Amino acid sequence: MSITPSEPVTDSHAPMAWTTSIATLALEKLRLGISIDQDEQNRLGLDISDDDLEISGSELDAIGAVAIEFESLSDASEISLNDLFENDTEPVRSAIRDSFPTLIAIKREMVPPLNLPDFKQASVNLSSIKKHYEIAGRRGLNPKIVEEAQKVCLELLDHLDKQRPST
Amino acid sequence: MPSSWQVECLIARMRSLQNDIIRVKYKDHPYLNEPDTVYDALLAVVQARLEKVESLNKVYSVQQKTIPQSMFNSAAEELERISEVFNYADRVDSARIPFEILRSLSWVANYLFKEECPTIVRLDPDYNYSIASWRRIFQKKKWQKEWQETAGRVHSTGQPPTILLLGFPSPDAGSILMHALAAHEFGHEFAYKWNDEINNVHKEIIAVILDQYNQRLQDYIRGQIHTRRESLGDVYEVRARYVFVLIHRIADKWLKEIFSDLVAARLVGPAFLAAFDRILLGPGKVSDKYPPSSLRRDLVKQYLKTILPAVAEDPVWKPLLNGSAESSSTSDELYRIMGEVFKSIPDRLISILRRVPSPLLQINGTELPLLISQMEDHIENLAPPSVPLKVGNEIDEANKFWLLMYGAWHFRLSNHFAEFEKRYGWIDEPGKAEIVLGNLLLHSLQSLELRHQWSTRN
Amino acid sequence: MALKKNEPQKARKKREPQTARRKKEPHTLNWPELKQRLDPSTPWEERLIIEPFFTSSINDTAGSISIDFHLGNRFTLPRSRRSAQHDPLTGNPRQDVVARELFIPMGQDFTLNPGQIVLATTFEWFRFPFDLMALVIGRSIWGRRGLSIVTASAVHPGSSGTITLEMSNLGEVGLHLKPGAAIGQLFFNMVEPAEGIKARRSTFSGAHRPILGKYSPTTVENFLLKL
Repeated sequence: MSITPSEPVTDSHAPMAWTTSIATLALEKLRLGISIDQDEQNRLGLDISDDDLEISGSELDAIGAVAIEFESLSDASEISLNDLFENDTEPVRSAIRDSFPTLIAIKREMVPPLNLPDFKQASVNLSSIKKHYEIAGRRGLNPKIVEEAQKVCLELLDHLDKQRPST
Repeated sequence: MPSSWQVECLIARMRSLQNDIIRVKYKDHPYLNEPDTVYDALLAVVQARLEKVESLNKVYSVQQKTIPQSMFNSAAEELERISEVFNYADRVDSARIPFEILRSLSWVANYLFKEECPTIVRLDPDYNYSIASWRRIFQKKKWQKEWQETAGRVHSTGQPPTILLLGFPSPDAGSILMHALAAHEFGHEFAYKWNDEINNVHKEIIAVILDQYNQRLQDYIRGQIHTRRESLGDVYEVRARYVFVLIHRIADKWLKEIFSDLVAARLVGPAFLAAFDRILLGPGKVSDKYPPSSLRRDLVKQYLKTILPAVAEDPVWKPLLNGSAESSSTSDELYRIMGEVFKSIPDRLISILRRVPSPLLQINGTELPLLISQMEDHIENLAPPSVPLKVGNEIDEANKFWLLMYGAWHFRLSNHFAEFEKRYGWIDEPGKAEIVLGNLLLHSLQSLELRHQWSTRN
Repeated sequence: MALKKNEPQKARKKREPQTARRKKEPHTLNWPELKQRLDPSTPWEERLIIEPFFTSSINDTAGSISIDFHLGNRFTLPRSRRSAQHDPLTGNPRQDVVARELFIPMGQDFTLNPGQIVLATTFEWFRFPFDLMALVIGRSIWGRRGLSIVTASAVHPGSSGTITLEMSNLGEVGLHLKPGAAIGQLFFNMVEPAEGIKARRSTFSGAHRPILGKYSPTTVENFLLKL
């Protein structure tokens, strides 16, 4: 912590953006693995193996982290202004408070009415994907859930991308 | 959408950064218990990102799809973040750096925080002074996984030491007096350790703001809206949430800065203000992270007059303590509100601050002027001021580090300094007298630590 | 021996007090005198400071007293550069011998290769009064291994700072030098301070690193060099 003001070099949303990127990559692997099986891959001459589509520990962790973040974003968006600014209500939990900058980043880029993505559902989807994969791999995974979760992740990434300080 | 060429460039840059980190890791360096941990952890971070980018490239290109721009930008940003941290870690080996101070700083840190704290150095291009622990740097960047894995591998027998990164301004690398600012930086480490107590004060501040400044906040929010949009309510809502976040962020950052300033006041007294004025010329800028400098100075002065009234009355410090600094004016109503709330901050921090050992309070009131006089006498006669600071007596050995800083600045600001310049014919060599004072101080700090080691082992 | 009767008693030569003797006659200091010089109550005109001072650095053998000094952390190495002029007489730093300074932390080695010369400093800071000087003698244990301290062998009265040591490896193998190694000894001599010398000290006063120093030709030199 420097003693006098100095300009920050990089964007505060960067860690979340990276984690979401990894989660999105993992979802893309799942989507590819589910939609095109090995025989189809061979037929199409796709140079990608099962190992390439394997979800690593860090990717699963990223899915879990994004699931938690989506839940916080959902909770944050449900807190009314009165609750925020009234002194006698319970202080906002720090995890939710930490999601506020992300929420604001999203809302700022939106044209009113501010219809947020369905973070709650996306959180549930991601949690169930993670749990399923941990038990049974990608076999039996619902592709629709994967696609919907991926869509929300990409939406979030787009919003965060717009917050990046321009060089 | 990024082209395959752009992705190739990104991958090439990541590999190049890896190579540079390795080269710097094996460079000849001026440290003994050298923290290769930092380089290994950075390499782990780069490798993890490189693997992901390569995987991303493969997964998308095999389907002849382009990687989403936002994902590419995110990866590019990671590269920038790693490069920024690598800049901190780039080994400096310039002869003008007073490496001798690292041992004694580590010793003092060890004493204050009860853990090993080897220290490495960087030169700050922004004319800043900082001390940060590498573990916290990695935590802030959300790379704790790589840090833990690397540190755990290197130090399998126990808790890895906290590696401190000391940064000081490149143009002033030789200035020893500046290291009085280390007291402020250690304040941040205390704030980190006592996070719960600091958080409680943070909650009190927020409660005061919401209770007593609610109307002004509402007016502020409304005043920030400059657009006529269909749903003004939505815009207001976003703006209000943003202000809510800002209040918390500003309160958190300002609290830690002021807490650290007051810790510095306890450790090194008005010498902190002297060093602070030296590094921050003029009123300085107000920001979300830093309170107005005039507020910081005023709070330190107020606190010093409360806990060290005799020191505050010392004629040498009086101009520093009684002079009014140019006020850092701000037109931002939010900063003004925060400034008003923070005026009463020292009272809220008193019980936490008492836990910081203070050499100026440890020493008997009448003994301090005598000791300072002896130290100044030695300086005037070109002898290290550590000589009269014998091992033993009521002051903890590591705390004598701060007494030396205090004594050196006291000498610097007194009229002894002009006599010193004249006596040795340095009036025609501007800066020479302060260099010699710095040499005496540096040698003293080094000797102090060694004498302590000697006395504990013999 | 009993005096012979009627022989007048020889008046005993009154022995001057030690202080007076000390003030007047240049001589090598013994331990009580050195101790006196180090004492905090000694006035500054006579005070000797050694910091840090370890009492086990004292060598008191066969009536002569010396104090060990130890190697410091800073080393300055002359090195070659692109324009190999190495001409200090020009007074131009760009044409002078180029030197590179290294900091070696405690516990690490510095290797002095055969034939290499290096400037180092003492670990200790010495502050000499104007009536005291010291002879710098390298320890024979190092000398026998090829290390030669070719430094100006005397520390001037009134010197203050760490002492710069010019060391050379005359042996055939590299020597690992460590900061903190007991590299030599100082023998202290009292001298008659010159009249009128007051506070002004040398160019190197207050230095704590080995400085090459700027060559400043004397008047005579200037005359001779321009012939």
